[in-house]
Amino acid sequence: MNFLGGDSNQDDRRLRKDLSKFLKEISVRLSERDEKNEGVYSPLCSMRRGKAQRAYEKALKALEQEDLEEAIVFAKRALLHLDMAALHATACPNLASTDADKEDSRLSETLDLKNPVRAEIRRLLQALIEFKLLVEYKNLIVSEELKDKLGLATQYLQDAIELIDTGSDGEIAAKTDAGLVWLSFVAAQVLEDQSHFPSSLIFQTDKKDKRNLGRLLEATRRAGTLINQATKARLAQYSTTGKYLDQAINALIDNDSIDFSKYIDMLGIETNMLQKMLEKHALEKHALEKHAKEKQEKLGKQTKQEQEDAQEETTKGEASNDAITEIVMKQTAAIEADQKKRRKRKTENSENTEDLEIDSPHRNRPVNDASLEKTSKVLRRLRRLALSHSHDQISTENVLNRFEEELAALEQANRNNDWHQAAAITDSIKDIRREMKALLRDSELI
Amino acid sequence: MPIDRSSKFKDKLLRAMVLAEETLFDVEQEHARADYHQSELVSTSCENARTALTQAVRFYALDKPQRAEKHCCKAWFYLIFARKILEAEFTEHQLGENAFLDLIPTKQSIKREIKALMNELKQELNCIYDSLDPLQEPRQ
Repeated sequence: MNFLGGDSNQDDRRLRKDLSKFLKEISVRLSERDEKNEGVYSPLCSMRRGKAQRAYEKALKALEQEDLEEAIVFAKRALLHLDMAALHATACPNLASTDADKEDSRLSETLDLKNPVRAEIRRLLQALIEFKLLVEYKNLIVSEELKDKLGLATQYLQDAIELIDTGSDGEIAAKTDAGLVWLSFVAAQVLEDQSHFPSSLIFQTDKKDKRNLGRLLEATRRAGTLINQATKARLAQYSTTGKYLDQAINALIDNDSIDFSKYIDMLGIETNMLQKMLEKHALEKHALEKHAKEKQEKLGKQTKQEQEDAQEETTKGEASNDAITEIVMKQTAAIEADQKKRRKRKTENSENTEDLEIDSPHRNRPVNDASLEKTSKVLRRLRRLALSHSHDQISTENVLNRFEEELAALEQANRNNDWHQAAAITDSIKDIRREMKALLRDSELI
Repeated sequence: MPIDRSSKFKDKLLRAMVLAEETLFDVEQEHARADYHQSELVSTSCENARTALTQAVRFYALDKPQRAEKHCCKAWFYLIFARKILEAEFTEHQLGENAFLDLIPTKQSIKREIKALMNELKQELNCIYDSLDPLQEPRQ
């Protein structure tokens, strides 16, 4: 007799009875020749029946060892596999005959697909597909940098799906929001015609908890559109909007409203500056074009006048033909000489600028500062890629950290004009680079 | 401990799992046929769907239908995603110029980028080594 007054012998008898009933049923169903097992999904049917057979054997083994609970677990599993096999045997092919939305409606009740958080996952998924379709249909170009951001948006979709089982609604929503924002940023930069913007990314809500997302999506779209224009005008390198957007997204994920407001304000300031820069650039371009046009017209008039004068002269005699040619030739030569002079002046100016750079206090330094800066930049990009794809992340991170430390030490030696120290560090850098190459090779990345 | 087969929810869930498994089968067959572009994202999504489905079946057998439903939902999202990618690429193959957009960087593109970065790094380091030529060192 146990504490609750139940009789353990009675429980045992009931378990044995249930088990015996299950095992008998499994045995009968496994021995049945499934006449319908000829359908489209017969491989799935066979697979499930195979699994049922193995679970049945495990249940028998557990029974032999008097582990009744384990035996029941395996018996129930075997029955489930048989139930699934039976359903597969009567099924029709899905993909060819029915569309996704139809299946969704069949499943939406069971799988609670209308739940707000799951609807947001669906929205991100839909937006990614819409964007893919647009880019492919219109043959649009997505730069490598933007492909990275697109990869981020896709990764956020996977993160959100994975969190369905273990995460809270808030955590899932943060991931889908981040995905939508990155995708919006990419789409705004790629799509020339903003009327083609994926409808899943156009967000209007009165919900209080989604207000921040609405603000961020709007800011992102504006920033993306301006960056697109700035890239064309070769002004995008001056913008740090991407940085602030990244920070605003992180604040959104962390649900940090203070940081979120701060970064969204900074993003707004940066975007306004970019807009002003673009407006200024457009005005300057317009003024330059106007000036060039006026000058061309003036030059044209002058040449025409001289030609007319010369023509008058030619009417006076045959010899004047040569004079016209001479005048025109002279004029052309004068224009060419003027242009040459301008080009030369321009080259001299640029050479002078370079000289100024070389003559700067950095000239006597062991290493060119620009080389160091470029190396750091390459290393940062390499870190991002190598860490996310290396098989041995810890070793890769260690090597990259050491590389960065040595590079920082080299910068210091450079600032101190310490040639010997700098030379010693480069030897160490050579070794680290070799180590990194080996790690990348092990991960089949090179 | 009899199996509660009367439960309407469990019955629907079982059918949802079966439908997901059949969809996975269909998507994999479609993917195998799509010789014009083998999307890595479709492969990954199918793999993830299979893992989620295995978990769903396991929890269902353990009489934990709520958890089984969550895993089934995961599998379903991966499958919708994979199928929509396949549909988009089929359209591009039929009507477009086979210019596919991969939503995540492919292994090949990552390899290419890393190789280019390593070459760039080598060039920059060579510049640094060259500038450290002892002949250029200023006399103290």
